[in-house]
Amino acid sequence: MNQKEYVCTVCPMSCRVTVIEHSDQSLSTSGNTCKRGEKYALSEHTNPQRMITSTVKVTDGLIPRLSVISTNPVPKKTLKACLKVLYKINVKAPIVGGDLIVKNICNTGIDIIASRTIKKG
Amino acid sequence: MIEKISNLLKERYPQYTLSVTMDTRHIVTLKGVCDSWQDLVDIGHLVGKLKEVKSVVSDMTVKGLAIPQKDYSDYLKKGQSIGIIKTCDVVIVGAGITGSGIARELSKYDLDVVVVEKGEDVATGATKANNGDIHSGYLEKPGTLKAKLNVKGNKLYDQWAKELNFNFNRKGNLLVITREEHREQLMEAKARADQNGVEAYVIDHDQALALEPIMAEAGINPLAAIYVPSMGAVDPWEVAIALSENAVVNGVTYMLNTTVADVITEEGEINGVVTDKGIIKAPYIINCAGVYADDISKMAGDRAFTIHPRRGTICISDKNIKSFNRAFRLITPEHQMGSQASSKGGGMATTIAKNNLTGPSAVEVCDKEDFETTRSDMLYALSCNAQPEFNVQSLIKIFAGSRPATYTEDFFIEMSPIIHGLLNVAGIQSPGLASAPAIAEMVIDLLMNDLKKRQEVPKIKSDYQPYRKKRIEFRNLSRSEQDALIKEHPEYGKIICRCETITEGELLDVIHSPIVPTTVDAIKRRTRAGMGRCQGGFCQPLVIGLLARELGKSWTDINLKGPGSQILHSENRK
Amino acid sequence: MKKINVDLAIIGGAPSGLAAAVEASKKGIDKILILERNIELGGILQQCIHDGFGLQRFQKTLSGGQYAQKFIDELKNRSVDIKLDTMVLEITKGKKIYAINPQEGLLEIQTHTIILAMGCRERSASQALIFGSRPAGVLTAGTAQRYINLEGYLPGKTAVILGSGDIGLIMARRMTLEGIKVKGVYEIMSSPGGLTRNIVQCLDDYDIPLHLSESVIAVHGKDKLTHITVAKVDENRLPIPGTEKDIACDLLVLAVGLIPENELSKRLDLLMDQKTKGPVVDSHFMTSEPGFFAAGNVMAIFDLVDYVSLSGEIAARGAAQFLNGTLTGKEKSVFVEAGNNVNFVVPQKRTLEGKLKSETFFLRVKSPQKNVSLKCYQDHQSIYSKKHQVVTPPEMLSCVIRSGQPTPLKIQVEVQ
Repeated sequence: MNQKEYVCTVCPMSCRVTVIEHSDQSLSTSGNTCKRGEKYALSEHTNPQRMITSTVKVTDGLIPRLSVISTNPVPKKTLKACLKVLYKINVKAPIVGGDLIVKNICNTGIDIIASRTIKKG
Repeated sequence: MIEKISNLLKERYPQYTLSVTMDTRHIVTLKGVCDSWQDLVDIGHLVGKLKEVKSVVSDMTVKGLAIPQKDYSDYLKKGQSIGIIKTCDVVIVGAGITGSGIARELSKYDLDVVVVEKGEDVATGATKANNGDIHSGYLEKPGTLKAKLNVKGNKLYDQWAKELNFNFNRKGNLLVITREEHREQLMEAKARADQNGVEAYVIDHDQALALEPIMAEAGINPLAAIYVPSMGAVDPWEVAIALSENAVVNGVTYMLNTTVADVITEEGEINGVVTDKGIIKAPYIINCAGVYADDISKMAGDRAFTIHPRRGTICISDKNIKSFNRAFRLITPEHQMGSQASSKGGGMATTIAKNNLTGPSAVEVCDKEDFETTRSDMLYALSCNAQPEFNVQSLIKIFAGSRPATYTEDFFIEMSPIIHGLLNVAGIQSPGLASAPAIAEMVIDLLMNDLKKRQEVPKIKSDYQPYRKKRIEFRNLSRSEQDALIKEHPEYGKIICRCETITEGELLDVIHSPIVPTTVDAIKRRTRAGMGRCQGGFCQPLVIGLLARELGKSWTDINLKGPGSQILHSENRK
Repeated sequence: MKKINVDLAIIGGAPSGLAAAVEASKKGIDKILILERNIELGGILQQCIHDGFGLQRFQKTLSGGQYAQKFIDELKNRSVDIKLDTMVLEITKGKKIYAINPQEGLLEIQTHTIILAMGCRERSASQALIFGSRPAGVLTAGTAQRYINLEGYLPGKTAVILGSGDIGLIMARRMTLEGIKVKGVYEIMSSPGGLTRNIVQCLDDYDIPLHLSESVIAVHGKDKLTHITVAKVDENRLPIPGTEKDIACDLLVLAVGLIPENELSKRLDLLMDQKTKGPVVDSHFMTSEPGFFAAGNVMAIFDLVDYVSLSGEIAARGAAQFLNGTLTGKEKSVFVEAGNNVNFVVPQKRTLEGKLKSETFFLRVKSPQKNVSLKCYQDHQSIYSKKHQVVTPPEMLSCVIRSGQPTPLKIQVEVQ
């Protein structure tokens, strides 16, 4: 029986939730005080996900960096690879918030979009 | 005399074995080991205070302490490999207030003058780290060179300010007592003022309050006070910059980021200097090298004094703390004066920009490059302050610098009698700033007398331009002046430093001035951008961007205060 | 000089000012002018590229820029005047504003009502009493954030962060993602200053240690930072001798507090609150000077931008009432008392005047507590009670009560 503890971030309670892996592969939680905490801990245990927020280089714009955001969280383990892709990107102004920057980044099914508008500068 | 000194030392410091020698100039050299830096300094002071002693050279060491020495070997190698780059008439070593003042006054003569400064800008040493007091000289010990030059220099500041257009106000200072038992100190101070020929008035409670009404809300009930009308205030770096720019306009060459590594002499005559940028040949060296003046003099072959740095810390308050009208010193049991002095001095001042300034502290340190602030220094500086609103919460900046003090604690200004052409201007601690015009006058007299002997008296330049135009200070213009200025030059309509209301136009003005500022701190000193409440938090990126653009450099090349102080490491990950 | 007449001038086009402008327009105020010193709207949000904004207001996790854009887009459909690159130099009691920009020169703007939305600044190294030398390599978190996120530069390779407020935590993650080694976050208090969500996602995710009750006491390095000294601190937040440790780094990031930017307010002699460092305001967020309103970080340091926007909207509604004469500021107001475990409450006063459907209060607790009720007492009667499983100082609370009697109110935290 394996177990791991997570700090829940859903509300300020910050419950310490333990996810227990039973011998029959099933999972249960203890330490959470609500269903949302159970859901969070199970998600963190089986498939932790994170939003990607970063910047890419932009030329011809009023400012030199474009902030970008993932349309949804990506698997945590793909974060490094996704960032590596973003480091290489160079876009040209004008950019409108919402513009697609990378489609289906690292095969996660998630897109990276511009999170702001940059006018030509 | 040597016996007298030896006996005195044996009496006061029986635990140490010290050797004393004295030459015909009455320069005493001390050798020996002691247990602490404070003892080393105290011993130097003990000897230096003797009236028969002209100067003290200390070769003493401290058990277990490696006293930092500047290593000139790399600079020397570089310079020697480059060879002779220039020949001129006078080399001034150091562009602090002393070197700048001399450069400017010399620039009226038909002489080829080169100023060599190790820092990235003028005024990067003690000149930028003091409180800007243009002292009256009233408290200086009568008979000292300090007293003479301070009183004289103070009077000459009006002319400098008028010609060079730096900010200068002459509001005087108050020395206040609140207790009868301190009256004696007040009278001692008045007596000293009389001896020094400085106008000073003993005033009563009502007169003091009339001069400084804020005392009432500050909870100070003055019993009596001394009012000295001639005390003034400047931004000390501004004076040095103004002097230097005028010197350049009048033909003086400034070499910044240039360190003197050796002095070349031939048969007791100055031949030139070796700097890391190459060799400069000249028959005269005016040594204004601050804490390193003793190194320069030693390189030239005249070990006439030793500098022991005394670090001081100053605290600056937010502008919304009400400031006093004049420089202010309150005698309290913790801060007493004259013969009762138990503290290390310091007081309160209002800067040109109307920040409250308090301090400085005074700590003997062995490292000439020790400019560290400490909690105890800060607390001492705050204790010099009489404005109760000015506490730890209202301070915006704490900084420190070092006074280049000799062991006689007086200025050491002389044409070396043993190395011809070496003019030492050393030990210029407070009141060096106030004395600067008189120091320059004295130094030039010494130089001219020597040139006379060689039948080489230079003419005055026919095109000498004593006037320097006043820098535009947008924040001080009237609304209609501001409007007109922006309409003609839109750069003045863009604010770079919003705490101090400094415009892009003002930054461009200084970037295109006779001595180009290349660092963030140099911009700060010339424009005030970064001196406000947020201490550059908002404006530093804008200043870097502007410098990079105007100087044609990349952002990562722009540093804070010279080589090695890079602010930005690299561009974001590629 | 150019003279302009407006009905409402909003000083600052960042979250509080933007929300105020949109609401003011909705309330039918005619000539609205936003004065923004930056070249674009949004203020600090434009350098906050991380998400987590708008969870309350939009039920989405947006980046700072995306959150700002929602209001900027809204303004496009409204006739609100915006002056960018425009710096306010002075505001008079007579509601004259002097501002400058490169295109127009000096502007003299006469307005009928003003919303102060200038935001805040960061505490500097000197103010945080960090002693030692003053080399390159010491930056406040906001400045570091600007270099990295807007200008595209890394200010160092190995960093230590002082301060575990949200901006410190966010920067720990941001710097790590950009290849800067963050050796640790030091916090002078005994509990973290930021949201738990950020501790987990910014520190735990990247194995960055958090050191509580420990602070940076000195900085070393002549020209460039070489190392810092940390030490444990006692209950008075003073360093405990003997606990000092040196840590090599070339970047010290300071996240040591935000200060409301009230220089213009102070020159107006507005009544100020020593606790919030902002102006004292009433239920309409009007200051002690009739017709001058305040919103956002200039009033008190907020942590949720959603609340900042809300405060802007409340101020705008107040401004609208001031303009139509419903609100004069001449009626007496009563104080709101911060009771048990409440550090401060904004607004600090309740006013009789004007129409208010509800009264909104923002407050912070002094110390963390579990299983408590937030209660409001009016005339010793409880008129509001809400259970909170946890309350902590870093997480601002808000309570909305139905407009009641203009009698003194006490807000406090009680253990259940």
